Amino acid sequence: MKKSIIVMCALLATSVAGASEFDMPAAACTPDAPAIQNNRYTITGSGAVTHAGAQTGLITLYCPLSATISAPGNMEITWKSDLADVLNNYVNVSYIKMAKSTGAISQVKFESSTSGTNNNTVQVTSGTFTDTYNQSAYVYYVRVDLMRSSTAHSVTFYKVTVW
Amino acid sequence: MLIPATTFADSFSMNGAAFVPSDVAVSGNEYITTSGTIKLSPTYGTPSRYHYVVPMTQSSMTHIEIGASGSADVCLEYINKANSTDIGDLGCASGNGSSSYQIVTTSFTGYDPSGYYYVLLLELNGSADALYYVTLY
Repeated sequence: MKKSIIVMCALLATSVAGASEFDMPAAACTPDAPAIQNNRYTITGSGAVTHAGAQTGLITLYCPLSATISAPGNMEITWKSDLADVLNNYVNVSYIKMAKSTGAISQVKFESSTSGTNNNTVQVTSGTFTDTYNQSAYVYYVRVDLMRSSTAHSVTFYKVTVW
Repeated sequence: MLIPATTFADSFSMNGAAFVPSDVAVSGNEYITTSGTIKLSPTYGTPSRYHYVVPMTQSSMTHIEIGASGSADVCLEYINKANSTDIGDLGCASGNGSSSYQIVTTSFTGYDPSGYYYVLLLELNGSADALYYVTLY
């Protein structure tokens, strides 16, 4: 590949709070193709991601767990929602591992706003999981799905921490 | 793939869908993301480019490994900290053209985080091209 002029559309920044923890603000995650191409999202001053203006539909964010940390067993998410609706209004977060040998993925941990408090205030929720952590055999990432089907409601995702 | 586990104590990994598309790739609807991977849109067939800034947390790196199909090509570009000059490719891993899933590993020398910062550059060139993951170690 010849030398290229690099245009950085966004500066992605991961932060490692400690050798055993990985933090990823929403704005540092990469939106999927439909979210970008349809201008569905906006980034707030605090680095959160939410729907832009009158946009509705699904916004998917990919947050790679790129750094080496100690074997995690917890996932904490920060979010805000004003309605719990598993089909039309939610923030769903999945901790996923991809097998390097095949490219196949499997979900390790799942959390959803629909099982929390949906009163349009910022919520911090967490859960535990058990999984064999093996960075030589798997690549790990967090997938975030923000969905609203009506402009009468809103969902916001702030950050995810895995430790 | 026989890699001592200790080498991954200081590694960097990411899935393909986390690459940031170039403005051209976005405006041209050149790609799709699915199951954590990034693939070239079936209706698009010329080089399409994506980037990712490598966090400077590694003290040393000598290998680039990809899980990919087609001729997906990932290069580690090194850029001079003093003047932001893109020096070129420190190392690249490229798919062999097969539509089957494959793991490709390439070694490189010269990693120097004190003088340079690093960007991964992904190129997708054909309809069979997909990137599942990249690991630097």
